[in-house]
Amino acid sequence: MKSLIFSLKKKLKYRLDVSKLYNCNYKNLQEVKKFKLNYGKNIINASELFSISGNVSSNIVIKSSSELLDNVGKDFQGESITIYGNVGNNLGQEMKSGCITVHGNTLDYTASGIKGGVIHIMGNVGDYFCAKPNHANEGMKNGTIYIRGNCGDFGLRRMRRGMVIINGDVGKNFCSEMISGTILINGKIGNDFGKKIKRGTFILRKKELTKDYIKSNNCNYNFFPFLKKNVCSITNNERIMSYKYFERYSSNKDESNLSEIFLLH
Amino acid sequence: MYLNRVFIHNTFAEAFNMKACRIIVTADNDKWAKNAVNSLTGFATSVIACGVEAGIECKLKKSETPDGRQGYSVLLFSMSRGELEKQLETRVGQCILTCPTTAVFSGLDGEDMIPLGKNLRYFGDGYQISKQIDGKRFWRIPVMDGEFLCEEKTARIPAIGGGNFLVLAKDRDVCLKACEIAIESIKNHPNVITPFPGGVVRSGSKVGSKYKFLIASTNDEFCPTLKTSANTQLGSNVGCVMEIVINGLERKDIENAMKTAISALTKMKSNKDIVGISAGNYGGKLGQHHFKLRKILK
Repeated sequence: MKSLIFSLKKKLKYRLDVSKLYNCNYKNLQEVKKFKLNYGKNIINASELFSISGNVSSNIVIKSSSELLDNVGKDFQGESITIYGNVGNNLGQEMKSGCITVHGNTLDYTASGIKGGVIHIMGNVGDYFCAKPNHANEGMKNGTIYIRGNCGDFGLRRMRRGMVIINGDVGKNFCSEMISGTILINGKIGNDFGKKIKRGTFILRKKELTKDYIKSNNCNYNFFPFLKKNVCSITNNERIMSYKYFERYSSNKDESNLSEIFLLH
Repeated sequence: MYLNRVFIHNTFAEAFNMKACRIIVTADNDKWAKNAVNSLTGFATSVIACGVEAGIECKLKKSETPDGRQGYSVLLFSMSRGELEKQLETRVGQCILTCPTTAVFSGLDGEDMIPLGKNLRYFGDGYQISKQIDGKRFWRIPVMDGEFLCEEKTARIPAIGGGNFLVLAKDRDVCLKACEIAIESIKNHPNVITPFPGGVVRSGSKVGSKYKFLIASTNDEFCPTLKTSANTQLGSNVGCVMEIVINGLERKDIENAMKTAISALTKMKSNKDIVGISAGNYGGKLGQHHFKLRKILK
């Protein structure tokens, strides 16, 4: 597979917006190298900060990345972006398609307003994960996200649809005003989880969150084996959704809350 | 030309452009998955009167199905998009939705999508739940055994229907045995189905009839009882003719299946009682695809 490879030459002093770097139709490698970037007070060629190699392609590889790199994969609709190291804010913001894989951590507003595609983050994620962009009324609109580590606070606000798998813990005020979607959280969950939810499916391991719900009858849910197979396939981890048995809770005391919880035991 | 001492007639099968879709039906166990697909593919032998031609493509392993349960892959063929859409929805609604423990998924991806569970969801009467997984929409419809899971859409693709060959044998027992061997050899062949009962047709037809109200009638040229009265194509030693019709997604799929099936039946022990292999056509004027027997078997 042909890839366009960016390697940071030196440690960054200032935050660097690279949102436009990947979304141009370059004709050759020289054009990529001459792409203008705002860096501090200066406008410089991309080649001054990155050593650029490989072939012009929509498969992007970023090596020795830094948490000062912002807007990586913003509005992305190419094939893939693979990042080795940490990245900054707004990773995959409003991305439309393709796959972003981060072998490191990300800062705030990761995947905010994502519209499609797949994001895999092998480390931790900061606050406002999948948050609502300032100009929009909804947060995550579609797509699939897998986070191997933990998440900060205020994540998944006003999520519309899509699937999010979080293997670690999440902070406070998670999933507030959620409209719909499917979320698996394997770790601990912070305070004020799921305030003013409308709909959605949660797969959780924490029983306290089910206190306002009514337990459903034990029956076969065809959706569940299907979901499990998909989750295992997305995460490439057979054990991520392991359970001896599960219980379903629905019909929240709040009648406007039509969400359901699958509690894994 | 002879293949394993069986004469291959210098003729061709005439086939038509069709539209096809593939669905995957799963259930808790093989018994109920089979019940569902048998019902779904019932009365789906010919587009002449059934609207759609359907058949089981193959049995799927648990690892091959979207939900990790027992399942079958089914292909449906029709002459038009509208008819395919209508038949698919009706059959899934009446045969899969109603069958205990089942779920249904699309087996094809493409740009031209037709509804699978899109309208069936209304059976949920407002209690249905939409789920968007990996870019595809699914519906969870509450039913009395739990819930029915179905994918919203499946792809419709161009396909070919009516690939065929005729087995000319000395008697009915040999002819039937040869056809059974042929069908068995392509039982799990990918991308093809044999829509007729057990895969075999004994009432091959020609276009038109002496009766104006009938669009198809018996293929008198291959009826052994009419050897003396019609323009027969049968020698004096032919006592029975049966046809195997093969529909496929692509031309090469049908060619491969025809080759496998004919090769298999010509290798049977009593192949000396098979007088020849021929094919059904309409003079080459109706169908867009011609499958020349000798070319395929070379």
